Amino acid sequence: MEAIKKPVGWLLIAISVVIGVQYVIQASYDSADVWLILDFAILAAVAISLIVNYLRKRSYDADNDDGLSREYFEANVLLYVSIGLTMMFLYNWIRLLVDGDDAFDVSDHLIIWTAVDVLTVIVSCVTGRYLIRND
Amino acid sequence: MESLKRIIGIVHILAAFAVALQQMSAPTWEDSGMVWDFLNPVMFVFIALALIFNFMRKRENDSAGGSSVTREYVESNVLFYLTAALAILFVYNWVGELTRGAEESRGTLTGIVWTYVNITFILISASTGAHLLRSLSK
Repeated sequence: MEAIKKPVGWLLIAISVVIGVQYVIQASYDSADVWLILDFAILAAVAISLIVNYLRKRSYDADNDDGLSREYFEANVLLYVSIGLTMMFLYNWIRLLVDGDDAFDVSDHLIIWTAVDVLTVIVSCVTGRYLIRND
Repeated sequence: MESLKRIIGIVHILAAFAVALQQMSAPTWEDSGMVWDFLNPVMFVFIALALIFNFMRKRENDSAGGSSVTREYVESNVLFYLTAALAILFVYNWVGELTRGAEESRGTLTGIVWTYVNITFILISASTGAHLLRSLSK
């Protein structure tokens, strides 16, 4: 488990950078097909982040029952943001897979993608950095 | 460095005021798009400066050690991550406008993102400026 922490951390940071760059330059070219591939990268990033942040919170909760510490704060914020991100991503992705391009007719579809993309960049980067630092 | 910080702090607060005035008064006059065309590069520079200063503030706080949740810890983290999100959203909307033109890039999502960007910019630019000025007087 310890051996894979660093590679997984770097993988999350790489996904974060790719999503961040693709997000800001998407308007400058026809990027729909690129997102179809990158959705799988986002799926991997949110799933790994959810697992890592759950294990981080569980590990902290098992060893500590003291007051508000930085580790408690960070572990909880990251886990609950990861849960929200996972739900928003799956909701939008499943709707896209089921409805195809018709999904974009619903006004909140693009707004949720915007939130998902920005949060994936931040959550993946922070989770990846945590894995690398705690290797 | 001290006087540079003071100048950047004051200009950050002025930029926040300028964007706030423009955001509120934009519906009342025509050609407000021309003002935004001028303000967008200014906002880009101040978002970049805020990102640098807030990253330095967070790093300084992290490297000081300690495990307790202090005001400085919460403020430095909240400001840094909000600035990071603001930078991503601003660049996304601005690149869209530069590459497709203001008219063609206009849509519900773009409008919502611009509103979020402008309001968050006002808060972040003013907070960053105020922190820079306060840190000099300590």
